[in-house]
Amino acid sequence: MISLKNVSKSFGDLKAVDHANLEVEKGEIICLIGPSGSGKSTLLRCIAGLEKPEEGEVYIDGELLDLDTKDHKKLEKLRIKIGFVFQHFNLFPHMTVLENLTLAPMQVLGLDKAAAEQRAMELLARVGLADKRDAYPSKLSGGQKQRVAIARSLCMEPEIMLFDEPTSALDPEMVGEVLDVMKELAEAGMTMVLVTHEMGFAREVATRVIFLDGGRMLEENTPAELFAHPQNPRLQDFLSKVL
Amino acid sequence: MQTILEKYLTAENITFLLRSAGISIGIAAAALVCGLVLGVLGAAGRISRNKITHGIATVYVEVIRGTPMMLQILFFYLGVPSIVRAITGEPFNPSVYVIGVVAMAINSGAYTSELIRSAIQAVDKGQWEASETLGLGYIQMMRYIILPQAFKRIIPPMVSEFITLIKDSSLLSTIGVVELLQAAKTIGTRTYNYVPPLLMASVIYLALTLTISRFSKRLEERMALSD
Repeated sequence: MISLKNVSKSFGDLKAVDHANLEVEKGEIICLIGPSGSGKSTLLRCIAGLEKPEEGEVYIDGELLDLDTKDHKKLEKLRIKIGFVFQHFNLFPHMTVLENLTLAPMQVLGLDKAAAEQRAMELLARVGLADKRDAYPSKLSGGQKQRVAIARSLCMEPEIMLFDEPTSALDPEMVGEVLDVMKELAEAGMTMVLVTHEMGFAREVATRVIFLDGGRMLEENTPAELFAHPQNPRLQDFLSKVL
Repeated sequence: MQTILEKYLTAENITFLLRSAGISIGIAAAALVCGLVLGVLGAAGRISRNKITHGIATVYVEVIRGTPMMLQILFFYLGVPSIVRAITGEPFNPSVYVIGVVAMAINSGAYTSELIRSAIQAVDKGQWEASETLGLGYIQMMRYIILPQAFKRIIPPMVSEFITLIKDSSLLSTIGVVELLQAAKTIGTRTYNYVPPLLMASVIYLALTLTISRFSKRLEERMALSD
């Protein structure tokens, strides 16, 4: 579904992503792990078209993700195949929860208000927040905000969901409720790529785990193998610190 | 003995001054509204990646902010009519009130465009990114996400801009617009004493500007509550 060919991205002198190649198949759940500054988030942002790689290409369903294209409609169509969940939620603060969820389906997909609201309410119920439909984001806890953000992405019926450290900005007692929602999504067959520090989640849910350091993908394997028999010394060192 | 108060605080003088104050407010308000439109266009140009629109907007903002307003008013009063006459061969004598509003609107637009630009750029980067990943196009993103959030930040500085315009409209007295300052000068000329009418005009200016800034403070407090 997604394929990265030789993608590189630098910020000044820092090579954030160094010639990354990745194929994501339907139904896969891929966890990107590694120390901070290893380029995992940048890699994820390249897939979503939030960063423009200076080298290499990103393909979504075989189509090139070209951020410089003049064909904005086509770019938007490619974009909405990908849902993105941010570390800091990025809910729209001037809109209620329901408005956050219905805006894009109405404006981009052309749903009428009733249909968009029906879809939004189903998804809010799924993340356990149907009673918050009229609340403004500032009145929600961190965990609730992130569940709303996930529901907002799902409203666009993406084929693949990307999560950029979705629990890193949360108080510890709220991590579980967000991970539970993500687990349910995984069980429902959603294709997912996530950057996470939750090794327990990676071990339990991922179909593949990729270790990055210094912008390079140094090792990838099934979680059982990768955590039990890490090969690369940097990965061994990393796991000894986080596990 | 006829006191100064009795001589100057006549119904006739007061009506004259208040009516002229109305002209000052009217000119300032018209300039503010037209300036807001120019400001939106200017801000769009400044943000635009298109080099030509960016260039035009930048020249507009820098030239207006870098030259005295008095000069700009005189340019529209003395310069523009003769330029138009040279091009068309027809005499071109618009009313000084129109010239005043146009000159002040163009001036205000340059300042407003910088206010709007900085308010737009102050909206959190995550809001732009979230809109992009949801597939919103540029115009939809501006209309539903960015401008509503930027607008809140623009209101307080726009109120101070209005106060500035009310005060600066006094410059139009030099081209014959009978606004508040010109009215005071007229009374002074008639009575050979400028002090009382200028003081009366000051009181009216102060009453206007203090009332407006009071109102602005309240508005800010109320907006802070809704955050």
